[in-house]
Amino acid sequence: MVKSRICLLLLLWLLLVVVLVPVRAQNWDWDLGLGAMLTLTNAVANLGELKTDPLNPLFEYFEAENAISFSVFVLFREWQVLLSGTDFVSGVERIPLEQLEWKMRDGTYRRMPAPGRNQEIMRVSGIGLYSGNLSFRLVLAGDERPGLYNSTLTLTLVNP
Amino acid sequence: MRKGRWRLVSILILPAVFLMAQPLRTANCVLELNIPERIEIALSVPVVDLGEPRRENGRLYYERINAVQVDYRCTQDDWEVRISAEDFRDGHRTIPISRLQWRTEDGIYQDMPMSGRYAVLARKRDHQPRPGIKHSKRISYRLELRGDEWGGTYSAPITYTLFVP
Repeated sequence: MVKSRICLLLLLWLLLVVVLVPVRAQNWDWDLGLGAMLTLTNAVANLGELKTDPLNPLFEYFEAENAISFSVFVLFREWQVLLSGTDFVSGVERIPLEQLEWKMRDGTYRRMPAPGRNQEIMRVSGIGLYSGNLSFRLVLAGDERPGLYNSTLTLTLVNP
Repeated sequence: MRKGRWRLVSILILPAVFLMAQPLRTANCVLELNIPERIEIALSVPVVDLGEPRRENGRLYYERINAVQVDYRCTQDDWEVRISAEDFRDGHRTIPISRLQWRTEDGIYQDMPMSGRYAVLARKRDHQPRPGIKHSKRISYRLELRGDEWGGTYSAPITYTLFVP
């Protein structure tokens, strides 16, 4: 009887360790909170080659379909998945984040909010595993300086 | 006794767990893109026919309005678009290219530079503050005859160069 209780307690501790300690390994960022877990499958996504609209050569853009995949494991309560980010930066050059558009699978492109602001991309509730794919498109204004640009995007799981 | 101790531990641990749990969970991802260097120049047509001669105030001339469109773009720190040409030729007969005049849509006619020289059509500082985007200029040509030209079908190569020092 006592042994089984000790085992139960150890199991509880093990669970607590898993719950409270964020784990970061290779391309996986995952973090388990009470009630939900957010998993991101890749830490870096490249928007690929510059594309040109064949009907309008002035329309130049980068596009990456399903560039980021994420999963949300929900135990209880309702959760929101928020997307935010920073401007694209290459040295002193900068491309505003609002120039980037995002969409979920089968959705339509919407502009990113300004840096520091969040955009709700998913709302989930009830026990289950929910997943999503984010596609991105960046239409160039045409006067951007050449270079390798980076932007850090953040997915945040919150209770609404 | 032991049972009570376990209960006490459990009661202490569980609230602590709830207190330690953070309401936010975040994951970051870096999005990257590479904008290549662009040095581009293109002409709308490869050949311009000046058409039939016209007469005005006793002067005979050829003219083609908006004969060619020059599209150019450069993301380098400094650049200019140059226009140069060779003399008109028909076999061994020639007409000096300096007799050909050219102008942009918003400009006035000016003589084409002599063979081997060039004129500047556009430069980076003309397009501030957005020098890197694609720009276009439409060029018109006019050739006024002086009467000393021999009959024939003349042609002259005209070259547009995007020059990056």
